[in-house]
Amino acid sequence: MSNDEILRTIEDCLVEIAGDELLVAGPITPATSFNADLELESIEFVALAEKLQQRFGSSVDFVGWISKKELDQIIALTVGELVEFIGSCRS
Amino acid sequence: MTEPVAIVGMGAVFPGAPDLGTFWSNLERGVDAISDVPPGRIDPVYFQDGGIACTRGGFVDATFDPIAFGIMPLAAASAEPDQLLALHVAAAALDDAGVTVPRERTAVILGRGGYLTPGIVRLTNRVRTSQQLATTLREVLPDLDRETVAKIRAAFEARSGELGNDAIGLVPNLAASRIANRLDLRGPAYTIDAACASSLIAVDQACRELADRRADLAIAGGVHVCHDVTFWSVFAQLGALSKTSQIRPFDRKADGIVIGEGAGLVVLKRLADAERDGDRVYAVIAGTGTSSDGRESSAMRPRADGPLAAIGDAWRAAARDPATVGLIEAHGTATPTGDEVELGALAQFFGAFPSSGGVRAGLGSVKSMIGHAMPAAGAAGLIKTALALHHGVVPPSLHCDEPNAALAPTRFRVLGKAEPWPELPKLAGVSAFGFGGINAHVVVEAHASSSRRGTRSRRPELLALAGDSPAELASALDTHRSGARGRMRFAMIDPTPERIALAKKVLDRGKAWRGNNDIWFAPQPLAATGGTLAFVCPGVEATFAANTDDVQRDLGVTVPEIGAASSANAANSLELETRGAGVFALGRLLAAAMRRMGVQPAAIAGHSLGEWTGMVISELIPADSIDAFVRDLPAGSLEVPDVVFAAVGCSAAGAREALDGLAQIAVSHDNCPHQSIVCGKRESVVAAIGRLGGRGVLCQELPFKSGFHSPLFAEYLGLHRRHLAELPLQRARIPLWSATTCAPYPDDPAEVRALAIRHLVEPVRFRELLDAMYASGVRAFVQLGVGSLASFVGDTLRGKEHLAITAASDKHAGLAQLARVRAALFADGFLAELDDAAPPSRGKLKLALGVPLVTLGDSAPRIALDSAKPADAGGDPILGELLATLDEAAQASRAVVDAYRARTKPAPPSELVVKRALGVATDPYLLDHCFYRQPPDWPIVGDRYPVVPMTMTLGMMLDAARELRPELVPIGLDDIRALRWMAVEPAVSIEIRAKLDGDLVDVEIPGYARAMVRMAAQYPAPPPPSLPPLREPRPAPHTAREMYDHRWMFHGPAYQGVVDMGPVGADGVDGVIETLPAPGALLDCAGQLMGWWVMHTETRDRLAMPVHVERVELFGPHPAAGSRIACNVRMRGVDAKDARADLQLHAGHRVWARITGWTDRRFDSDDAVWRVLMYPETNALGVRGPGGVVTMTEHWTGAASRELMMRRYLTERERADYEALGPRARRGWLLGRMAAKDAVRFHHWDSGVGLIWPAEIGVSNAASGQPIVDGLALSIAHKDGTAVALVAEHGSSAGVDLEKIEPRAESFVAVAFTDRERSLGAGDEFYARVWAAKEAVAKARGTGMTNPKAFEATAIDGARVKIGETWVDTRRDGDYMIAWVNHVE
Repeated sequence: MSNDEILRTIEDCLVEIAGDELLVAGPITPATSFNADLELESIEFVALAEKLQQRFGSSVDFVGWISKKELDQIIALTVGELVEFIGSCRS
Repeated sequence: MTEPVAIVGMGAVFPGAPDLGTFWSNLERGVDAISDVPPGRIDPVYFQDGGIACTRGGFVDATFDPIAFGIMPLAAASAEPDQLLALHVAAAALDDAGVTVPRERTAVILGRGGYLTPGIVRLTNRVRTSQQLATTLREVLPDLDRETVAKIRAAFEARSGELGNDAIGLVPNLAASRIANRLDLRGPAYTIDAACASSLIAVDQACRELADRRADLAIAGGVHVCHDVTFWSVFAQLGALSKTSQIRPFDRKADGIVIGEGAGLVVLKRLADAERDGDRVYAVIAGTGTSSDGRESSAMRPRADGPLAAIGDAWRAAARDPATVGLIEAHGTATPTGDEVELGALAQFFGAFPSSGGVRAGLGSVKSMIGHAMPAAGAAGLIKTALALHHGVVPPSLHCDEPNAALAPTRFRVLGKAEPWPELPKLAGVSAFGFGGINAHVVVEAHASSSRRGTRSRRPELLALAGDSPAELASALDTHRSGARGRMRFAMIDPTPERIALAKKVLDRGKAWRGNNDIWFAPQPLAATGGTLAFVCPGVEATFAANTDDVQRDLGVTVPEIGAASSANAANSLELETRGAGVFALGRLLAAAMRRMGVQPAAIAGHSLGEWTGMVISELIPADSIDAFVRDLPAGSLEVPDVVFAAVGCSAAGAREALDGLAQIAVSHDNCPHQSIVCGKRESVVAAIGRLGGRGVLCQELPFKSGFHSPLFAEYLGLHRRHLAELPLQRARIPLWSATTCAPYPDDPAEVRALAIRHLVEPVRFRELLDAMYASGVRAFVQLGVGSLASFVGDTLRGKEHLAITAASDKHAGLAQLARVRAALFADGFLAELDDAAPPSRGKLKLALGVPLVTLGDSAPRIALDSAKPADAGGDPILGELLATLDEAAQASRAVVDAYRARTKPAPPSELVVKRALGVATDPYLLDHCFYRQPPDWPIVGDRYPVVPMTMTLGMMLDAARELRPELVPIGLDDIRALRWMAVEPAVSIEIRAKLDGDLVDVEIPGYARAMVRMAAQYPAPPPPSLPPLREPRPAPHTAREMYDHRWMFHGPAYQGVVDMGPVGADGVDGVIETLPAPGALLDCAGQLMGWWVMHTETRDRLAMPVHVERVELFGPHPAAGSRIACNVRMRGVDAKDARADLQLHAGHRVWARITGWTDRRFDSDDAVWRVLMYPETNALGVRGPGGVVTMTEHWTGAASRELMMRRYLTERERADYEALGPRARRGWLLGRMAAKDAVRFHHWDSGVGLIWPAEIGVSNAASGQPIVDGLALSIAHKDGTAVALVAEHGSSAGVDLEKIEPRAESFVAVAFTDRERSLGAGDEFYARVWAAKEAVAKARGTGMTNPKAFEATAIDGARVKIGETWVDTRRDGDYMIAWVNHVE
């Protein structure tokens, strides 16, 4: 699965969670920030974790990955970082 | 480079500029705010005959709202004005910043000089000058008797202004401390004095506090309020004051300063923090420098070395290239030497204008526009510079018509008009140099605002639109045209070009959009489809941060619990309660804010402890017990040792699975599909976290030890049970939903108590609760606090149309977040309109910045200078003869002189006009003299109708008479007439005219009252009481306390002076009154006793108000506060119109006052009116008949009684509508409104809402003219003296009509009715019946009956008429026909 495909899969998950209004401002790119751009709330983060496990399987330990990060890193987290992480889990 | 510091907020009051926005607009436009000395500031005498040559300066005209800061208006009037000004500006600066305020770590550093400020001058006058006057009088007039000297001294003191009771408040450092105290800031707060450099030295200090991490936020700047003549004279003597009264910085003809005043403060934060928090950054302080001149210069012979050192330090600290400077805000005092020295320093440091060309940098001084504001001058310059950088504009500097020759060698020029900032790195410097050789310079730099969301401001701009299609809305968006009509709604905050572009995409998409990027769009507003709104109250969560200072100020309340909770550490069990109290207080504050916004919820729910907030807001606990409930919450009762919570990122079912086999652990909260909370012994919780983490579930242990909502709490219930048992309970005004049962609370208090206990040990089923509320029709959820409830709603109702928004957030300051709530509720139709009108204004105090010379007017005796005493001849007969002759001659000439004086001497003043402002801000005790009770926290003071008691009016009249004849005392009044209520909201200004009329003083308050005051040299001897004993005396049926508690009187505590009552007789009542300090309280209480007797004895027209008193006799000065006075009331007669009595007030058998012929006018009112006046929240004047139609008839005949009921029912805005109508239209309109309000109240009472006040029901009109009321369908009709109203649930329809049965002309019948209708019957009653039925259907359709034949009666069956396919009920009521329908086919 290419990084672009991972990105589109994440986008699908996000739209399922927060609705297609996420895309009105423009498509989701690697630079899109979960906090500042998508204004994702913590509950939605949890929902995202659930969806990612459904799509990518248990080898993608989103929760374990997040829990190693400091708060300011989580706040600054971008979709690109998540794509890289998922890519690294699968390779 | 030093730590860069961001200017994130600013506040300013300077000449010509009451606020920051005006200040910038003046700067940009080059407004010269220098003016002549306004009256009352400096007496003109000082400018005459070789006095001070400069006659102009910069003057502010400032007001202050004491109530917003929790300061008593009286205390504010006597405070040092610069303290209040600084407080006002500090609050404005914080509001402007809109940042979260870390109270424990916020410093206040204020530049302020120790000058002769107005408060000190007033104190000096009263304490020192008055004695000086007495001493001098005695010295030069040794024969003057002590009494006269004392009178003159007393008159002088009395006219020297308010001293107040806290002279300690004049201590200079309070200018800073008061800010810290009133805004609850706990970092260091102090004033510094470095003369004209004070503000910049304060900023330098603040930057250090921030750089050293000793503070995280700082408010710094300066204040100067001192246009005292002493201050002017110093500068005049130095020759520094412009003799031409014109300040011209850097002009050849510059001849000195003019003096200004004002206050400027900036809010500072480390740049890194500001960027992290996304704050709006005006500009960045890159470096500061300070120095002293040492021995180099004297006060008026400055040298360049000192300033150069400060400038150099600042630019080195900033590590910026001086050659890139774009603007220097100079000290620029416009003294020839000062300007030359400063220009020299600038030339030396910044170098000459490069031969390579380019744009010369700007140079200016804000002093050219506002004068020299001394310690505040640096702040004015810094704020000017920060705004210039922020706006990218170099503002002009005035009156530099022919530049000083020393300007040429510099790289600068003085701009006469604003110019855009050249494309350089935007860098500027600000200088301030003080007397004695203290120098400061600050380097300021522009900042590309780090906030992605753009600028924040206290009251964000809100754009609200309605339209019938997205295209229509999009075009309205281009024109910013607010408030059009249509079924689709749109709202946005701060419409920047980027956001408008996004908004267009949102509209283009055509689907609902709720809140993302502060945009709301509802193609089908939730309220329009019958959705209702609920409040949800959060409990204690892991974090709590709310900045609601501006909301508190807006509502005029102080809620210290919120700030305390923000800094509390919930992990500590004691602080857990502090946190809880904050959550609770915030909920109540926001409920008040929502009420003010006009939002009425249909349901309330709480999460965990938030359910207690819900109990309070729903008034399940009665309003008067709420404070006791909060106070008595069992202390230390929340903690359970070794029991912890963990939030887990999965459903409750998922969490439960993971608990299998673990001991003493349970799921305590089912928050939403993706979050639940487990609670248990720590080891079990840790094990559960391990298991869940292994399955990829996010878990977080919460920082408090408590077993709430789990069986582990069961053994800790005792305290709570006792607390609950003692609480009075009532049926909730708004249904409160339980998260234990997922249904509304029961009505029976015993069941409520039982459920409240279950709530503590059973799980919070929040997810199921939300589903149940949704199923009941709730579509909008407003979170009253900070926390996660809105996201729980979002997760639970994902995919279902709903709105969830929080009323407080840590992202935006309080009012800014509430603006978002308004936007959201407008878009979904829960707010009919966005009225951006100013909130109801409270009384603002004009700051008394000047202290005029004291003139005694007629308040002191005049002294005629007689010639010296006769000399003593010492027994010498010849000398004696000579002296006798001389004496005769002297006497003769004195007689001539006296006769001459008598001819020309001006007559003593025979008239006096006193002006008096009256309002609840200046006279707060009047809040306890309001005619109408309203719901607790009701924000509109005018709805309570505060009025001046007639007895206080008497006091004002006596005072005026005494002022006219100060040598006499008032011994009584005759023929007192009260013409109308003196209502004081909004505040009024009245005139009291006193005129000598022989021995009497005729006192008139035009339009309000009139009386004759009798004066005498002294009071007559007090007689013993003389009124006869009561006939048929018996004990009073209740105590004096109960008279107030049971609402016989409308008076609040300041006027509740009757402490004992009884016996009561056939002809009056006796009682005891404690003299309260509120003006007029003693006699008002006497009037209360009389009024009570009338109410108690009569069954009709019970309400009686004083209108006339024949005579009052006074036998001594007014009794002191605290004294107890016996009062006897003896009725002389009660007739249909009036009640009349004689009264006496006495202490120890000495009568103080005898009142003859006190007359109360009786208002025509029956029992129903009486009940509504006493307990409006549970009684209606309207009568509900068949079909739920509410009929309202006139229970009165006079206009005064109608007015009385009008104010009982209508709120401020409705009264304006009422008063806009003609007298004829008013009658029916009022009855209709009253009927509608009662119909709605009956409807809500049916659904279990306990207490509803008429003012709470807002009836308005749609564009179509149809009446609208929140969430219900409504129809109103009126005819003559009757109105009818009908409500129906939203979604169904209501139509009601009322017609008079009267003869109808054939022509009318032919137009009104079809042939088919006429075939059904005939006659006046038939026509009225059918016509009313047709009208009812037309109203229910909302179309109105434009064509009567379009609503055809097709059948008639007794009293039922079929219109089209709809059967309409009708009923004859006397000469009228009523028709109603609540559904249409």
